[in-house]
Amino acid sequence: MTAAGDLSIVASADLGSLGAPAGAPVAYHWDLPNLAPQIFPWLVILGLLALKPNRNGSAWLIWLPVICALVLTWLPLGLPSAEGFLLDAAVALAFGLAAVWLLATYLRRGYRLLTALGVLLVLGGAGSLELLPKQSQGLFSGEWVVQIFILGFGALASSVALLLAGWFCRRRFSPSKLYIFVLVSLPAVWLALTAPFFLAALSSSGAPIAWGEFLLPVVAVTGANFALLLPFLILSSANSLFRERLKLILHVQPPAPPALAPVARTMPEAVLKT
Amino acid sequence: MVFLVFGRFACLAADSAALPSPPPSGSIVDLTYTETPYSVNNLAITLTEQATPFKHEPLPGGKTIRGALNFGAATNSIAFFWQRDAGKLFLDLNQNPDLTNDPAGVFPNSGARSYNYQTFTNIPLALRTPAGAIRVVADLAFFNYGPRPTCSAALHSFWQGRVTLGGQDWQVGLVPDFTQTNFCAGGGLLLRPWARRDEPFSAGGNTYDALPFSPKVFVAGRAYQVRCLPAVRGAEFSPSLQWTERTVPLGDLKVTGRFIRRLVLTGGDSLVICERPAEMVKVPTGAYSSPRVLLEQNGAQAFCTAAQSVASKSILVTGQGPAVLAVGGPLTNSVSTMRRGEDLVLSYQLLGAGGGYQMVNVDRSKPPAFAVYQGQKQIAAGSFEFG
Repeated sequence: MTAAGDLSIVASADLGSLGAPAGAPVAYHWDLPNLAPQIFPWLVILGLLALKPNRNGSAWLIWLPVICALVLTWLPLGLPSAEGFLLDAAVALAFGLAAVWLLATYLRRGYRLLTALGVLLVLGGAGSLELLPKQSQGLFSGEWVVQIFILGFGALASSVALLLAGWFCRRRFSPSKLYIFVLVSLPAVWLALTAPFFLAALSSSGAPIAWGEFLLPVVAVTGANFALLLPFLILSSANSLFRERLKLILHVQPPAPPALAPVARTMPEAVLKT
Repeated sequence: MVFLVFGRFACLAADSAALPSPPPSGSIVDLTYTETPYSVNNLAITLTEQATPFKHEPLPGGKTIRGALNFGAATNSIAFFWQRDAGKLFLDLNQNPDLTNDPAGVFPNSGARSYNYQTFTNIPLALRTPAGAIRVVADLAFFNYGPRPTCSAALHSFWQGRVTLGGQDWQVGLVPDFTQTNFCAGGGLLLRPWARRDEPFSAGGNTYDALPFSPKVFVAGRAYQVRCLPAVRGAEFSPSLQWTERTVPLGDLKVTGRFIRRLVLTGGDSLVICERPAEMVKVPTGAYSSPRVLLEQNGAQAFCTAAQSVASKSILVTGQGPAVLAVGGPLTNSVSTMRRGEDLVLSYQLLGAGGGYQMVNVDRSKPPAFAVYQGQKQIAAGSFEFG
């Protein structure tokens, strides 16, 4: 709500003959929320843009996929308003992905698994930085735990999906191939992550497997996760700077060009004519 | 002022009616067995699961659960065999430890096809009580969530009769609860004007027509001793209720709200039922807590959610001065506010005298709405979500 000051709120409902439809106005003084928690994650991204590898005009394009994620959360998704806090976790994951792309040159390690671990840590860490300042009910509140849980699972699924996609594309990289492998890897990872919980619930109830109850939520979260990743992948396809960053994360090219073999300088033979 | 005078007149009338010494033996109302299309009571049934097959049982079709349903006393155990995957329930209704020779004891799942929750309807149960064999009709619901299956029964039968109390005809009834040791008096007591006898009711429902059985009842401005007299006529269990008027000290209770159809007071000497109470009523002296209030006006009904109500405080009725009970209408739509970060969380409240209320029949397609104003300008509006 952008308005501030003294507000009055009126509830109304049909009470038949038991009362008037419109209730008495309830006064409430609304102060605009503190902007610091809102702009903190943006400042983090600005800080990352100040790093030496990102001192490039193209690096500022990282705002585009972040804004895409924000717009996605504004769409009418049919979530009850009380569940709206779940979308904060999605935005946090988008900020985490932006941080990964901006820190890619530091994340690249000699081993694919180590790079993936770095991606996971940055995703989770930067995402948490987006969530932490917004906590109005204190740490370890129910909402915060759920948000962190979703962010953690999203970070794990995204990093493992990128790891697998990078492995599949290690010999020959192309954006379309990458999209397909990410699209295949993500549901596989989400299935693997959620199956233990589902199986535990099944074993306790003894009920036969209701695939619909299991697969539909997995399809939904996979779709949401892919929708968050896709703008970053598209940016990486369209922009050479971020394409190189993506390749660093995916391990589809060596960190540095191979050292050139010393070129034998063949001096033209001098013909000494005497 | 007019109401005050009328209320005082009603008090005096009630007072003088309660003072004469009661007759030594009260009126006895024979109750007749009645089946209803709606559930009159919901009971949790103890389910004992057993792994070893019965000596005679149907062939297992997929996942099966077997054991005994314990309807109160140990003598009321009925063996069951639930073919969960097939959606079929076998009951040993003839009590001959053979689940294959009882065609009347086979019931198909009548609910939605679900492995975790199945319902079996119109099950006639013959139960043994210290007073004799009784029959009830119930829907049984089996739940298979968690490590152990559970069962509940929705009763569709009770015993009812007609009695004149305080010059008015009342429908009285016994709603069985076979989880109680005293089957006759352990259940619910239905007590409402005879004119409303065809309306659905439920023990534990929010219209308070059926309440936990009490041997002392104050209704229609008079106090009664109520005895349940179990009897068997022919092969039929047929209980009776004996109503013996008694004298109790009375005090004034002033009810501040309007539209009250039923006011129930518990915690004192008697179960106090006031139907359409006047502003001032006479009730037995004593301390009462958590009054139950049903409002009704032109078909609209609401009940007081006493747990969140200031009316849940104790009410002391003495012979000296009137006690004041702030309950009733008119009702007002309201909203409670809570800031959560950058969000303002609005919660709908229905308020009346004494605290919160809830409409009995809620049309979920028309949720309560809200509008936010800054000065005269509306800056936001929407509907509340149920949940």
